[in-house]
Amino acid sequence: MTLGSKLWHHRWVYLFMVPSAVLGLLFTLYPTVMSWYFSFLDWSGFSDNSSFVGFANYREAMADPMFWDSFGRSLLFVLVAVPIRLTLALLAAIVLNNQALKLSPLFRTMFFLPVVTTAAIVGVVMSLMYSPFNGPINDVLMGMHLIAKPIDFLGDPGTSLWSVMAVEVWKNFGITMIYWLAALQTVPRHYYEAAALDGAGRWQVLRHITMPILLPFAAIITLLTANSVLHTFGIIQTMTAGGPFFASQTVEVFIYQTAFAPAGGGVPRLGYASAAGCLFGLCVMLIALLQIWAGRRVAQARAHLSVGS
Amino acid sequence: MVERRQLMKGIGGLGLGAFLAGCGVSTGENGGGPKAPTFDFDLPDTGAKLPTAQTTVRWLNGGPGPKTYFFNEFNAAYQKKHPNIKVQYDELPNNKIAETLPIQLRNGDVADAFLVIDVPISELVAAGRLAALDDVIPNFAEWKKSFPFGTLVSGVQVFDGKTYAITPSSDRRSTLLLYNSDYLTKAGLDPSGFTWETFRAAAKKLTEQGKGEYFGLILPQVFMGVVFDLAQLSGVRIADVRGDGIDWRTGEFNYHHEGMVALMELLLAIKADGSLFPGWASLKDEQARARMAQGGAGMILSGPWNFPVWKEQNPGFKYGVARLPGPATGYIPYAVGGSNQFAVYANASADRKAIAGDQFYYLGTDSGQRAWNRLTGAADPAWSPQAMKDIIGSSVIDEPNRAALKIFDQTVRLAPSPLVRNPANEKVELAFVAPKPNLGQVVQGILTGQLTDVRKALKDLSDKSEKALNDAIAKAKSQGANVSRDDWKFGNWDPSKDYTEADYK
Repeated sequence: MTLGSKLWHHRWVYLFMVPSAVLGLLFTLYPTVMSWYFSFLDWSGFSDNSSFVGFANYREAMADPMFWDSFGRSLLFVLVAVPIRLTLALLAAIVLNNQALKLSPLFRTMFFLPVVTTAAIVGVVMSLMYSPFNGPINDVLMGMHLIAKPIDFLGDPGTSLWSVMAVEVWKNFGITMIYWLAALQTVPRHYYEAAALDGAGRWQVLRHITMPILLPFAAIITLLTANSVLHTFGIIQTMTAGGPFFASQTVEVFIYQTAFAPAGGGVPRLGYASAAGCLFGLCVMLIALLQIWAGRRVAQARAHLSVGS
Repeated sequence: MVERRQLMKGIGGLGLGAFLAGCGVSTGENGGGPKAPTFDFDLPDTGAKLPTAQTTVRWLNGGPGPKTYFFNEFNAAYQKKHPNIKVQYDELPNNKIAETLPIQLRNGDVADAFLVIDVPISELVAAGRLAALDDVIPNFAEWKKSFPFGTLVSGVQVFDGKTYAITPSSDRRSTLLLYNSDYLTKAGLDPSGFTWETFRAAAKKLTEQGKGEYFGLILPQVFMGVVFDLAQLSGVRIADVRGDGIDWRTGEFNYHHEGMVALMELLLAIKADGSLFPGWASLKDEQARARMAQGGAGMILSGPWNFPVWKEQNPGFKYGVARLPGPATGYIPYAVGGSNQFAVYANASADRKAIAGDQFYYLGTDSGQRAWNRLTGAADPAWSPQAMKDIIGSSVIDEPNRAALKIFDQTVRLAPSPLVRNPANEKVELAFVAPKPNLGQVVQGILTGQLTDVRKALKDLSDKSEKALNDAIAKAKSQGANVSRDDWKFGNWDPSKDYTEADYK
């Protein structure tokens, strides 16, 4: 069967793919390609005047300590927030996967609700929650005599990044929980039934049945969670705008402030911001490839162990 | 002078506030609904060739804000005079206009008349997007004469002898000391003559009086315009034009002046006293404004754009207006070119251009200037000296606006401009990459303890700014512009006087 006849044979498959492909081309591929193109320009973004500057924007970004500082904060966000989100979401998913828990749908909805709430609204509300002036969180901590005076969670450079990170974890851990729940659904029920007949305890079931089956899903869930954690612009911009004095400025905020809201009212630099974005995207892609490579090595090792046993 | 981006934030905040209240964009000829007119518009017959058929002209303006008050009444009066003309008047927050206008212009789907904000007019002119108003506004040459020196400027609105935008307002404004009248009365404080020392003491006294219920002073996380104004009033010669801290007499950046160090020490002392509202370092402008009106602080250093918000959202809030603390002999420079640049789309139909030109004409008349001053208040002062004089001496506007305008009249003076001296410097402005961090961010870093060596931080800023300007000049030169670093030096600058046309010679 030739390629042409194969395509014709599966024409309905390709036809159904067309809407998704067109949307993907328009809203994913085209902006991505244009972003790469813009990164080679000296361009403000609002004029017809632009000049090709080769890798000058990349060289500038590589030498810009503010870019690397924001890059470091984004990585810190990933390194800290991802494991916390994964662990909390897994625990919640395991609990809520229990058929005996009658209120499970209610709790699932409750945990998922922040996910579908607009980040900007969450940011504004959580700013009030964190406020050292009549903020409920400080009121509770003071009421419990855990602190002597209110903590300036968002205004203190030592706590601002961690405070927005906590909000990010709370807001989005519901989506990770849904991923874990979906993975848990793949564990055949008769495994649990057999384990119960054999007298296995909860920990043994988790250790010897649930976790090994979930492991292949962990790589992709980790990747999706890491990707989500890197997109925290809405929350950070509304809660701290990257401050105080850049203490919570991640790469996304850096790019926005360079491209659309430059410090001191200077002319926006869409070309430079695009270069910073592409550079960051490249680094993230490398991390993702490393993760995939590590996942495959784990799978291979598991397969080897299975064969060996 | 109010730093431009700070003003944008202030005005943009109005839009955000209204948006959160459920009204992000006001549309239609009367915006917020029919209200009794408060100004008797004297619309002249300009000789414009207006259409006789039903015609709709589209406007896009920044708002909602003080300008909304003017245009709601002006458009209603205009339509009453011309029943066949409908003005479709839309508003967006200024920052949204800055983002969307270039795209609308590129696509050709744009209003006939619009506000140009944070987009260099020169770029739009070069791309052929804007109509030359010389051909749109009736009797243009004669009409233009009413604009005072420094209002329509080569390199800002005028290119190759043609004018592409006009403004109904000047940039003659500054930040102010706004205070909670009840708190200060209770404390027995008179803010009209605060020095830095008495200001600090007042903040401390108010904090003690508040007993944790309110604090002496509230500031937003970044307050660059306030720092510039405080410094200038105290005699530090740094100019707030485009955020560049230049001493116009020497042409050099002056962030590291000893007076600036003293100002940082004052702010640090106020913070150490515990007089700053807790959590200030994460407060946006609009949040600080709201906390102030809710009684969270006794004083705020901010601008007149707060007045309409408080009037709408906190009508019971009693506040007063005073000049910023500092010596009574200080002056604040403001930039040439005015504010609120209105332009006409190059490809609008002749009929709609004629209507826009007819409306623009009114903005430059005596009646238009008085109406503008009356309805927009101190946030956007009219450029007409006569209109300003009339309104300060009258009781047609409320006390906060009149007090603010009076303070501007006493303390704000026209600054020299490299653009007026040499319009080619527009290329330098376009090439200028503002150093990071800027003054507002450096002050934030100093107050949060992230920058511990104040002198070094300010000197670094001066050095970086110097390099940025030199780089921009070099780039402009490489593009063929005949510019020089000396264009930034005005040895005869006297901050207590307007820098007039004669001073350039």
